[in-house]
Amino acid sequence: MMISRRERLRLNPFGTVAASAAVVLGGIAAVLGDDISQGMTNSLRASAEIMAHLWGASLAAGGLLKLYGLYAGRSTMEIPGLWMMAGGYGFYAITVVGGLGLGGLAAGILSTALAVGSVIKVQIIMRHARNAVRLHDAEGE
Amino acid sequence: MTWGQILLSIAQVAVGGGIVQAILAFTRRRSELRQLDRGSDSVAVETADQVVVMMRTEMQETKAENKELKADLADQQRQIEALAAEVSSLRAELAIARAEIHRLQDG
Repeated sequence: MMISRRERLRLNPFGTVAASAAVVLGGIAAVLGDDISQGMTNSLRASAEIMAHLWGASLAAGGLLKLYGLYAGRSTMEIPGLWMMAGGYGFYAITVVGGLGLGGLAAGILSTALAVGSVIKVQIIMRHARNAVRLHDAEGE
Repeated sequence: MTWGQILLSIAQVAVGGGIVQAILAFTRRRSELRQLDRGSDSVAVETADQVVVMMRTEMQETKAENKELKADLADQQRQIEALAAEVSSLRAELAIARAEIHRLQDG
Protein backbone atom coordinates (compact mmCIF):
# COMPACT_ATOMS: atom_id res chain seq x y z
CA MET A 1 0.00 0.00 0.00
CA MET A 2 1.46 3.34 -1.07
CA ILE A 3 -0.36 5.68 1.30
CA SER A 4 -0.45 4.89 5.01
CA ARG A 5 -3.71 4.50 6.92
CA ARG A 6 -3.01 7.64 8.87
CA GLU A 7 -2.46 9.59 5.66
CA ARG A 8 -5.75 8.27 4.25
CA LEU A 9 -7.55 9.47 7.37
CA ARG A 10 -5.90 12.87 7.07
CA LEU A 11 -6.93 13.12 3.41
CA ASN A 12 -10.48 11.77 3.92
CA PRO A 13 -11.71 12.60 7.42
CA PHE A 14 -15.35 13.14 6.46
CA GLY A 15 -15.53 10.14 4.15
CA THR A 16 -14.12 7.94 6.88
CA VAL A 17 -16.53 9.04 9.61
CA ALA A 18 -19.57 9.13 7.27
CA ALA A 19 -18.83 5.53 6.27
CA SER A 20 -18.18 4.50 9.89
CA ALA A 21 -21.49 6.05 10.94
CA ALA A 22 -23.24 4.18 8.11
CA VAL A 23 -21.71 0.89 9.29
CA VAL A 24 -22.70 1.47 12.94
CA LEU A 25 -26.19 2.81 12.24
CA GLY A 26 -26.88 0.30 9.46
CA GLY A 27 -25.64 -2.60 11.56
CA ILE A 28 -27.87 -1.69 14.49
CA ALA A 29 -30.86 -1.14 12.19
CA ALA A 30 -30.29 -4.46 10.42
CA VAL A 31 -30.45 -6.20 13.82
CA LEU A 32 -33.13 -4.18 15.62
CA GLY A 33 -35.35 -3.13 12.69
CA ASP A 34 -37.62 -0.08 12.96
CA ASP A 35 -37.13 0.23 16.76
CA ILE A 36 -34.16 2.41 15.88
CA SER A 37 -36.20 5.20 14.25
CA GLN A 38 -39.58 6.53 15.32
CA GLY A 39 -39.78 8.46 12.07
CA MET A 40 -39.50 5.25 10.09
CA THR A 41 -42.17 3.51 12.21
CA ASN A 42 -44.54 6.44 11.68
CA SER A 43 -43.99 6.95 7.97
CA LEU A 44 -43.71 3.38 6.70
CA ARG A 45 -46.31 1.86 9.08
CA ALA A 46 -46.93 -1.81 8.17
CA SER A 47 -43.79 -2.29 6.09
CA ALA A 48 -41.54 -0.44 8.54
CA GLU A 49 -40.08 -3.56 10.15
CA ILE A 50 -38.89 -5.31 6.98
CA MET A 51 -37.83 -2.04 5.27
CA ALA A 52 -35.74 -1.04 8.29
CA HIS A 53 -33.90 -4.36 8.24
CA LEU A 54 -33.22 -4.09 4.51
CA TRP A 55 -32.24 -0.43 4.76
CA GLY A 56 -29.86 -1.18 7.64
CA ALA A 57 -28.20 -4.01 5.75
CA SER A 58 -27.79 -1.89 2.62
CA LEU A 59 -26.42 1.11 4.53
CA ALA A 60 -23.96 -1.04 6.49
CA ALA A 61 -22.84 -2.79 3.30
CA GLY A 62 -22.35 0.60 1.62
CA GLY A 63 -20.29 1.89 4.55
CA LEU A 64 -18.12 -1.25 4.58
CA LEU A 65 -17.53 -1.05 0.82
CA LYS A 66 -16.61 2.62 1.09
CA LEU A 67 -14.19 2.03 3.99
CA TYR A 68 -12.58 -0.97 2.28
CA GLY A 69 -12.31 0.88 -1.02
CA LEU A 70 -10.83 3.98 0.58
CA TYR A 71 -8.25 2.25 2.75
CA ALA A 72 -7.26 -0.42 0.22
CA GLY A 73 -7.03 2.20 -2.55
CA ARG A 74 -9.68 0.48 -4.67
CA SER A 75 -12.16 2.84 -6.32
CA THR A 76 -14.10 -0.11 -7.80
CA MET A 77 -15.30 -0.83 -4.25
CA GLU A 78 -15.46 2.77 -3.06
CA ILE A 79 -17.91 4.03 -5.73
CA PRO A 80 -20.60 1.34 -5.18
CA GLY A 81 -20.21 1.89 -1.43
CA LEU A 82 -20.74 5.63 -1.84
CA TRP A 83 -23.85 5.08 -3.97
CA MET A 84 -25.30 2.71 -1.39
CA MET A 85 -24.50 5.17 1.39
CA ALA A 86 -26.20 7.94 -0.61
CA GLY A 87 -29.31 5.77 -1.07
CA GLY A 88 -29.36 4.75 2.57
CA TYR A 89 -28.92 8.25 3.95
CA GLY A 90 -31.47 9.58 1.43
CA PHE A 91 -33.96 6.92 2.50
CA TYR A 92 -33.49 7.82 6.16
CA ALA A 93 -33.86 11.55 5.45
CA ILE A 94 -37.17 10.98 3.60
CA THR A 95 -38.67 8.67 6.21
CA VAL A 96 -37.61 10.70 9.24
CA VAL A 97 -38.97 13.97 7.87
CA GLY A 98 -42.10 12.20 6.59
CA GLY A 99 -42.69 10.45 9.91
CA LEU A 100 -41.90 13.22 12.37
CA GLY A 101 -42.43 16.37 10.30
CA LEU A 102 -40.68 19.34 11.91
CA GLY A 103 -39.45 17.06 14.70
CA GLY A 104 -37.41 15.08 12.21
CA LEU A 105 -35.93 18.11 10.50
CA ALA A 106 -32.56 18.04 12.31
CA ALA A 107 -31.91 14.37 11.48
CA GLY A 108 -33.37 14.91 8.01
CA ILE A 109 -31.03 17.78 7.13
CA LEU A 110 -27.96 15.99 8.49
CA SER A 111 -28.84 12.83 6.64
CA THR A 112 -29.57 14.70 3.39
CA ALA A 113 -26.21 16.44 3.68
CA LEU A 114 -24.47 13.06 4.02
CA ALA A 115 -26.34 11.70 0.99
CA VAL A 116 -25.49 14.76 -1.12
CA GLY A 117 -21.88 14.60 0.06
CA SER A 118 -21.63 10.97 -1.01
CA VAL A 119 -22.96 11.77 -4.50
CA ILE A 120 -20.55 14.72 -4.85
CA LYS A 121 -17.64 12.48 -3.83
CA VAL A 122 -18.74 9.96 -6.49
CA GLN A 123 -18.70 12.73 -9.12
CA ILE A 124 -15.22 13.86 -8.03
CA ILE A 125 -13.77 10.35 -8.11
CA MET A 126 -15.37 9.63 -11.51
CA ARG A 127 -13.92 12.84 -12.93
CA HIS A 128 -10.47 11.81 -11.70
CA ALA A 129 -11.02 8.37 -13.24
CA ARG A 130 -11.92 9.84 -16.64
CA ASN A 131 -8.83 12.07 -16.45
CA ALA A 132 -6.69 9.06 -15.59
CA VAL A 133 -8.04 7.20 -18.63
CA ARG A 134 -7.38 10.22 -20.84
CA LEU A 135 -3.81 10.55 -19.50
CA HIS A 136 -3.20 6.85 -20.00
CA ASP A 137 -4.49 7.01 -23.58
CA ALA A 138 -2.34 10.07 -24.30
CA GLU A 139 0.73 8.26 -22.98
CA GLY A 140 -0.01 5.18 -25.04
CA GLU A 141 -0.09 7.06 -28.34
CA MET B 1 -52.85 5.97 -2.84
CA THR B 2 -52.29 7.31 0.64
CA TRP B 3 -49.56 9.70 1.71
CA GLY B 4 -47.79 6.85 3.48
CA GLN B 5 -47.65 4.72 0.36
CA ILE B 6 -46.29 7.62 -1.70
CA LEU B 7 -43.63 8.21 0.93
CA LEU B 8 -42.77 4.54 1.02
CA SER B 9 -42.30 4.41 -2.73
CA ILE B 10 -40.11 7.54 -2.74
CA ALA B 11 -37.97 6.12 0.05
CA GLN B 12 -37.71 2.81 -1.77
CA VAL B 13 -36.60 4.64 -4.91
CA ALA B 14 -33.90 6.37 -2.86
CA VAL B 15 -32.39 3.19 -1.42
CA GLY B 16 -33.08 1.15 -4.55
CA GLY B 17 -31.58 3.86 -6.76
CA GLY B 18 -28.47 3.81 -4.62
CA ILE B 19 -28.12 0.05 -5.04
CA VAL B 20 -28.81 0.24 -8.80
CA GLN B 21 -26.25 3.01 -9.20
CA ALA B 22 -23.78 0.95 -7.17
CA ILE B 23 -24.23 -2.04 -9.50
CA LEU B 24 -23.97 0.21 -12.58
CA ALA B 25 -20.79 1.79 -11.26
CA PHE B 26 -19.30 -1.63 -10.59
CA THR B 27 -20.20 -3.08 -14.00
CA ARG B 28 -19.87 -0.11 -16.36
CA ARG B 29 -17.15 2.03 -14.81
CA ARG B 30 -14.82 -0.69 -13.65
CA SER B 31 -12.05 -0.16 -16.19
CA GLU B 32 -11.98 3.61 -15.63
CA LEU B 33 -11.76 3.16 -11.87
CA ARG B 34 -9.03 0.54 -12.18
CA GLN B 35 -7.09 2.97 -14.33
CA LEU B 36 -7.50 5.61 -11.63
CA ASP B 37 -6.16 3.26 -8.93
CA ARG B 38 -3.18 2.28 -11.06
CA GLY B 39 -2.61 5.94 -11.88
CA SER B 40 -2.71 7.10 -8.26
CA ASP B 41 -0.30 4.32 -7.26
CA SER B 42 2.15 5.27 -9.98
CA VAL B 43 1.73 8.96 -9.12
CA ALA B 44 2.64 8.17 -5.50
CA VAL B 45 5.71 6.22 -6.61
CA GLU B 46 6.76 8.95 -9.03
CA THR B 47 6.39 11.64 -6.38
CA ALA B 48 8.47 9.63 -3.91
CA ASP B 49 11.13 9.10 -6.59
CA GLN B 50 11.26 12.80 -7.37
CA VAL B 51 11.64 13.65 -3.70
CA VAL B 52 14.51 11.18 -3.33
CA VAL B 53 16.28 12.57 -6.41
CA MET B 54 15.77 16.14 -5.19
CA MET B 55 17.17 15.35 -1.75
CA ARG B 56 20.15 13.50 -3.22
CA THR B 57 21.01 16.48 -5.45
CA GLU B 58 20.69 18.79 -2.48
CA MET B 59 22.94 16.54 -0.40
CA GLN B 60 25.61 16.46 -3.12
CA GLU B 61 25.49 20.24 -3.47
CA THR B 62 25.88 20.62 0.28
CA LYS B 63 28.82 18.22 0.28
CA ALA B 64 30.55 20.20 -2.49
CA GLU B 65 29.93 23.42 -0.60
CA ASN B 66 31.33 21.86 2.56
CA LYS B 67 34.49 20.82 0.70
CA GLU B 68 34.93 24.33 -0.66
CA LEU B 69 34.50 25.86 2.77
CA LYS B 70 37.08 23.46 4.24
CA ALA B 71 39.56 24.42 1.52
CA ASP B 72 38.90 28.11 2.28
CA LEU B 73 39.49 27.49 5.96
CA ALA B 74 42.85 25.76 5.33
CA ASP B 75 43.85 28.61 3.03
CA GLN B 76 43.05 31.20 5.64
CA GLN B 77 44.95 29.27 8.30
CA ARG B 78 47.98 29.22 6.07
CA GLN B 79 47.63 32.97 5.53
CA ILE B 80 47.44 33.53 9.30
CA GLU B 81 50.59 31.48 9.82
CA ALA B 82 52.40 33.46 7.15
CA LEU B 83 51.31 36.73 8.73
CA ALA B 84 52.41 35.53 12.18
CA ALA B 85 55.84 34.65 10.80
CA GLU B 86 56.07 38.08 9.20
CA VAL B 87 55.11 39.76 12.49
CA SER B 88 57.77 37.91 14.42
CA SER B 89 60.45 38.73 11.86
CA LEU B 90 59.41 42.40 11.95
CA ARG B 91 59.62 42.36 15.74
CA ALA B 92 63.12 40.98 15.55
CA GLU B 93 64.09 43.70 13.09
CA LEU B 94 62.53 46.31 15.34
CA ALA B 95 64.58 45.06 18.31
CA ILE B 96 67.72 45.25 16.22
CA ALA B 97 66.85 48.80 15.10
CA ARG B 98 66.22 49.87 18.72
CA ALA B 99 69.54 48.41 19.84
CA GLU B 100 71.26 50.31 17.02
CA ILE B 101 69.59 53.59 18.11
CA HIS B 102 70.78 53.01 21.71
CA ARG B 103 74.28 52.34 20.51
CA LEU B 104 74.34 55.52 18.40
CA GLN B 105 72.90 57.67 21.22
CA ASP B 106 75.42 56.30 23.72
CA GLY B 107 78.24 56.78 21.29
